[in-house]
Amino acid sequence: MRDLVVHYDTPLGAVKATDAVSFSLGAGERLGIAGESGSGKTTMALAILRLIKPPGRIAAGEIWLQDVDLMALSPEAMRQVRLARIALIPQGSMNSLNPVTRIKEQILDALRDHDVRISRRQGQERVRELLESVGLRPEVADMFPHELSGGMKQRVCIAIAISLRPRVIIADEPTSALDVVVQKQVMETLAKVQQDLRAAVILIGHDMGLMAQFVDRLGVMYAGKLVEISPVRDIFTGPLHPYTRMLIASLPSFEEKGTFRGIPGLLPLLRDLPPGCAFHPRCPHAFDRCQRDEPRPREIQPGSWASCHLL
Amino acid sequence: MAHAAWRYARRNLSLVVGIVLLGLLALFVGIGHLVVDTSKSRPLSAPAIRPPSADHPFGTDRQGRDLLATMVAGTPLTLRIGFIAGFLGVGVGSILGFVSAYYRGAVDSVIRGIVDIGLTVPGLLVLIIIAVSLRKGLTVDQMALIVASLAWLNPARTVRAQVLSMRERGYVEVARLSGMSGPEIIVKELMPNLLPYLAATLVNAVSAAILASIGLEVLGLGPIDSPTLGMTLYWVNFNAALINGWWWWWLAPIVIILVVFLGLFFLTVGLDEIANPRLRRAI
Amino acid sequence: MTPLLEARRVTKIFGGGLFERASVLALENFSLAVDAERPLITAVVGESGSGKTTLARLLLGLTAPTRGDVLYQGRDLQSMSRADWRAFRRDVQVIFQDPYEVYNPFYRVDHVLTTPVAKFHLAPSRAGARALIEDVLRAVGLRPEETLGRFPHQLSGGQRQRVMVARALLLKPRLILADEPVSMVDASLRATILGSLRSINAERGISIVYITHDLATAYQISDRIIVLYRGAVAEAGDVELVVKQPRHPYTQLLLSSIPRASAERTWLTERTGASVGRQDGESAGCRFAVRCPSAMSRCREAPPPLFQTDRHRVVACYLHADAPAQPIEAP
Repeated sequence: MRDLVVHYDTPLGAVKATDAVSFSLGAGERLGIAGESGSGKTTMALAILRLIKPPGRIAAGEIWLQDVDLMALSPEAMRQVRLARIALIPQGSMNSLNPVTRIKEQILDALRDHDVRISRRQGQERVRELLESVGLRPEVADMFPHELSGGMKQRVCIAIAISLRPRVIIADEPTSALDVVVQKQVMETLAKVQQDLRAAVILIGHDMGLMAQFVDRLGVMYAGKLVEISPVRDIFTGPLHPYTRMLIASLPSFEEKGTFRGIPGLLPLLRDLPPGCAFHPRCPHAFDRCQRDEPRPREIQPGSWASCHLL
Repeated sequence: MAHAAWRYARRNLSLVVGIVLLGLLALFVGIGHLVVDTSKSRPLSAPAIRPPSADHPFGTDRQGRDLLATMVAGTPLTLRIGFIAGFLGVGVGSILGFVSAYYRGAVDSVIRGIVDIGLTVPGLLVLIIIAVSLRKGLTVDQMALIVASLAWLNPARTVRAQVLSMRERGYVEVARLSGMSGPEIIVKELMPNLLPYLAATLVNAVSAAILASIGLEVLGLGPIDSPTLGMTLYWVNFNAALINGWWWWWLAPIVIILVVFLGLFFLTVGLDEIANPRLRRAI
Repeated sequence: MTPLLEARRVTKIFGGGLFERASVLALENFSLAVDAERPLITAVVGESGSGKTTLARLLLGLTAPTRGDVLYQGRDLQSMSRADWRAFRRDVQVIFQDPYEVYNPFYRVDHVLTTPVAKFHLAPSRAGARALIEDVLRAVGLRPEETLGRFPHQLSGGQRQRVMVARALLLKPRLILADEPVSMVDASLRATILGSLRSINAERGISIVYITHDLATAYQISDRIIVLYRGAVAEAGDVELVVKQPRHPYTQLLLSSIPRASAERTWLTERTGASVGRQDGESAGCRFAVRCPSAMSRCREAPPPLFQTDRHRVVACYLHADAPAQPIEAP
């Protein structure tokens, strides 16, 4: 992704939901995009699949899948890319399963939508395979969504996402509504299918602990901008951007008890961003340049990029 | 401020159209009362069966009424029936709806039972029976009360449904824990959020009431001596004006009734858009 | 010393009436005492279906127990007088999970603060009321000039939740029940709210019952902890003991399932041995037996009592049957 800019047109002018976001994803790599509400992470995921609907629009930027510029594709070609090459597990997808259709129908629907011609028997076999790959019993195929638990529903969504063997899986907050024990199981499933397909995964979320334990590289978004992106180990041993640093410090840990280090101030409204660096009102190290110039991403160490005037 | 109003007007065209139509009607009646002599709406004020002319811009009817005067005098009467019946109906209906939904239990069962049964009985039939039994010289206001007697049923049901979903809201719980009593919660917490919805229901009720009253009047069950729109149509019917080719007699009331209903319809659609929480600007 | 608020062997069963198919045992034989003298922070930790929401409602008197009692200063909630209820509603305050739902969108946020002041006659005059409100807002770290006069949608989730905490303080309660107060608040704002709760407890002597699914925040803020599993207490006691040396298999499972925000990666590779089965219907014994890697035959026969393995901790598990058994939880 290069310099992606997504605008939302409001009566008061265009609001930049994402601003000049760039990153690259290697084959089989796990990339995490972490951010709080309003950071633009879901918008970015939707943009990759060109699912931004009016009043939003992709104002600028390129998205390359191997050697194909997704922005240049026709709508029909893009539709083919979705699910077959890049799959999305949207936020809240486990609650978006059709309540009156059996699971196997919903999986087959996805296949049929992509003109996969298979006989009934082949279809049943495929469904069974998919359910097995996500650790679900074959009987689940004949069940309805309400008969399944949250974790099982989410795994069905993963099964649908991998049904056409995509190269990239984007999972947007896949476990935020799940209990912590179930979360681990779902993430284990995601890791397994990723290995089976040798696909790349983009995990979007706000749980830094989950990111730390799952992804290879982590990007941190704030107010629509990617403020830091580095190998995950480096982020947790030596975060570069003040926001990353303060965010990690505010997380409750099992080591230190009783210290509460929240980030003062509020998340900025995208339609009313502060001038210069969007984080400067809350940053304890801000100096006068931070109010004037927006920092650009720079490679601070090999493989680690951050946007901050201090670096 | 004006700019915001203009922008909203563009989004909610129905509301604007509705207001404009009803506004024109109000102008018609208002200016009409100043310019036209409404006593000419009584029989024998003018020569009978005259097509529109300079003296009688809307023509005259068989009993010698000047039709322009009739329209100017009669429109507000018809509207008045609608408003009285509509307001009464929504007022009584919403109170019962609030009480029924908030307190549940036996009260709810009783009210709900009456409403459910009442709504299945054909309303016009009931109104006809009532009107026929009260036959001695109906006035406009008595007409309104007759229609109101049934107009409260629908608002009671719809308000109850709305309140049922609202009473589980967090802020109702907080209000209760803050020491508010039941009636206080209804008035201070629930009702303000229902105002747009109540407004839409009100316009609906007025519309339905006008229709019901015209229906009764056309059947001859209305206030015989009043020049209401419905009564005019009754006389149109009685005198076979259609067959006789006296087009000016039935055209005027029909056009006005059309404007009334179209205006109220667009107003309802416009208000619905405000009342619909999905379109309300949150966060 | 009569506890301020006490749940005594409370059981809550939903459904099972004439027309319903199955009943749900939401909470079983649960006991908790909030001391009147020492203001502690007690965390009740459980996942969905653990019964923690039911517990909150029982403690607030919003629902009645099927068996057992909930007592306020020794008086049963179900048979209290109106005067008692008023006193109860002042002494025990709530903070709800959802900072959006608790505000009436029609009014400014001032409304949730002015209403209790008016209803409970907390201030003699308008000026007095204003001063009181500004005072509690500052106590939670908010600036009155930036908060009052705004509509709910103009404040962030974190700010809204802090206003709710401020509202809870207005009545000078002795106990605040916080039901998942930060789960719907952004990560960077959570620590501030939790810090406020901690300082409220320390500086104003207000006890707090903190209900959550998040063990990490529960550890950060509480003195003692109760771990619930499917309506029954699995383990309870001093928070350092329970979290650092968990004895119940479920507690151990919970702790190992939490992904830590550190550079060490053991989460996905660690195997815990417990399965994630769905348990339908009632079983006679320990409710965790179906998933427990150490389940023995006696576990399926009868639910284990609470064994006091340490001075300040109890575990409901037959693995520790050598310790003395306690009928009522006593941290």
